[in-house]
Amino acid sequence: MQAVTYDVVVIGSGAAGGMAAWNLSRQGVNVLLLDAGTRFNPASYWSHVKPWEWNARLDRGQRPPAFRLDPREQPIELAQPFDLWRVWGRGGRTNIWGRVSLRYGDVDFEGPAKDGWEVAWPIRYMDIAPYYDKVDQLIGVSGGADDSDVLPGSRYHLPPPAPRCGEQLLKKAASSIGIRMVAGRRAVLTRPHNGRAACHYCGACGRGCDIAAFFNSSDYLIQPALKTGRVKVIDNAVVARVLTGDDGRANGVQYFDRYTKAERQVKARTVVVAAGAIDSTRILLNSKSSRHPNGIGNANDVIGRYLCEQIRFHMYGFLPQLLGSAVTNDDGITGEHVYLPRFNHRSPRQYLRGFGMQLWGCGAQANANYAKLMDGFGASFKTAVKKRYPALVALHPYGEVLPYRDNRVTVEGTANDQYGVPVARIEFKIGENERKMAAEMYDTAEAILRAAKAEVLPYRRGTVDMPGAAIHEHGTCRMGADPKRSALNGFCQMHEVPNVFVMDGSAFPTATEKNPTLTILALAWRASDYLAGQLKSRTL
Amino acid sequence: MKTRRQVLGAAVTLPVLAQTHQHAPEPAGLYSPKVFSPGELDLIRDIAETIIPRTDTPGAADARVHLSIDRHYSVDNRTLAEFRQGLRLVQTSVRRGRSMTDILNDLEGHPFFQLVKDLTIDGYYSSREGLAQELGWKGYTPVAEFKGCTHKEHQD
Repeated sequence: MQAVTYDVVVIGSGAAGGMAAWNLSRQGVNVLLLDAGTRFNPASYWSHVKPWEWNARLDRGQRPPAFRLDPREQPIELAQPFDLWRVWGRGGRTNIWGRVSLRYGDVDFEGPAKDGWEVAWPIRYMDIAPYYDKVDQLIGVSGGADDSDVLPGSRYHLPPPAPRCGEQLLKKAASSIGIRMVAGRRAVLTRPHNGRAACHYCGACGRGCDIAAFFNSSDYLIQPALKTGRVKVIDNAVVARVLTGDDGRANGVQYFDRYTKAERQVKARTVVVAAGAIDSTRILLNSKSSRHPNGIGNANDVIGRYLCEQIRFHMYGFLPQLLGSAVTNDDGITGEHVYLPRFNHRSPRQYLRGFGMQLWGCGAQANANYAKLMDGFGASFKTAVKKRYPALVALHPYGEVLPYRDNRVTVEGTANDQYGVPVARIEFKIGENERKMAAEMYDTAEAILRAAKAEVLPYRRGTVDMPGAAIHEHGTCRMGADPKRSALNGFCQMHEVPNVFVMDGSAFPTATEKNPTLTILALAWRASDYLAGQLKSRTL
Repeated sequence: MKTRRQVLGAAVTLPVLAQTHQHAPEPAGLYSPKVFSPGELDLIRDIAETIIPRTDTPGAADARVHLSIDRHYSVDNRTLAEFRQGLRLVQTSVRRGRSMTDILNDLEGHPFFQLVKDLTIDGYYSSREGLAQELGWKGYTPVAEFKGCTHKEHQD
């Protein structure tokens, strides 16, 4: 039997892979989508399960969907601590993503070109703006009417949810010291959109949305793509390598069945790699051949390097106006309803790039973990905890980590996974630039809480979360104009191997301080438009 | 499910406040202890009840926090040795006739005190008694509209 050659084999079903499959198939391209897991069943989500019901269910032998991949199944090696989140299954991490949907502006795209730190982005806002517009309309993003150089606006936002009391008061306090907060932007449907039901504010987005009122790649992209009849999905396909011919071009993909561990190969005219930055990089570096001894497309030792993420910490306080006030249901769309955009670029700093601030966790939560940081015990302690419960506010600054050559993913000398394929090893450290930025992040959070006259919970200045905790990995297969210093062009196409595209966060030359998924979707839409054109014109 | 954590001090770790709850107690009778002896459970109940006592609202014993602590150690025994050592310390003082309040006052600042306090807070404030009755939490409930802050005095 003659093996089928697919126009495009897409590796990964998250934001980038889902977008590629959807956009290519609707343009007449035949797509094979390789998914390391299977489709999650929304009816099985524990969306509305109260905290005290959780263990009763476990006792009855029930389990919530296991979104997060157990690292024992697919290990990684770590030179330093790194909190890697992976979701194998249809939609990948979009099933449980934070949904924050911020446009990058030219402050972001021009940053490296202006300050000279590593390669410049090969695109500018004008290149991607039409795609942001299309993505906003397709997935539905709630947000305000604000528009600025650091956070370009959108004509297509759904109405933003009203701020909670604590957020409203922090916004006022920040404004009193000259810091502007705007409506948060989230891919949550605050009204019915494209035939989907609106959010019902149940507050448990992180457990998966049983009505798909926030974007996930499975329901919004892959299910519609399957209806074209031009997409085939292979479940439980754990990709090991992109295969190449004697000419050095990709001609297929090797994968292993997740459970039987049987090796399989499929033939491809072009390949889209979209397994998330760390796993895409593992696949590319393992794709060695005589033409690509350092991994496919990696003659210049760029792939795997320049891993960038974000620094982040959390500061909590209680607002005096809200102490002992009536408790309300503060769940909303979960996550913050206001956002503090980057502002530090307006005057010189002793460090490069910037930070923004999210405010998730203001108001009544499904726990009282802050009580662990309060002194004492007994009846007076219990009263003090209750009094503070409605008054909790939270600040979470996110700052960019610069791309450093030695922050990297490698597969050399690592152990093999259960399929006999070398696993990824991560090396990641922050540097002086990040420490200087973190100092201003702390200054700013302190200043806002001071202006709000908040009682601040104890914290240790200078500490940041474990790297990886922001779940924003970038840079290990970056785009750029110079083929010697970058792996991809501005259309996510490999300089060295034109029939391989890498469309996930690894394509980003910088991490920025923003959440990347909206930009991944927009870039993947743009790149897959370009790919469809190349296929139609038989350039590829 | 989320395990994003931040170390704030030598012995104090504050889990991100939106995390879900793994250690909530369930209705009495459904959970049988797997880690501690009846004597240990009695002691844990007394300690937890002293940290969060019954007032005009339920306390830690009402919320069966001692069982949630047993459950915690049945799935994660990383601090079990330290916890048991602390229990023995408390037991010794109890035998000498000291009140639990005095014992805990002396223990404030001791790693065991923070450990048992954290576990009590986890158990109590994720129980129906602690979270819904005491704090008044109304979340994880579908609603048609989210009004947000409606206080005139809070507006811009």
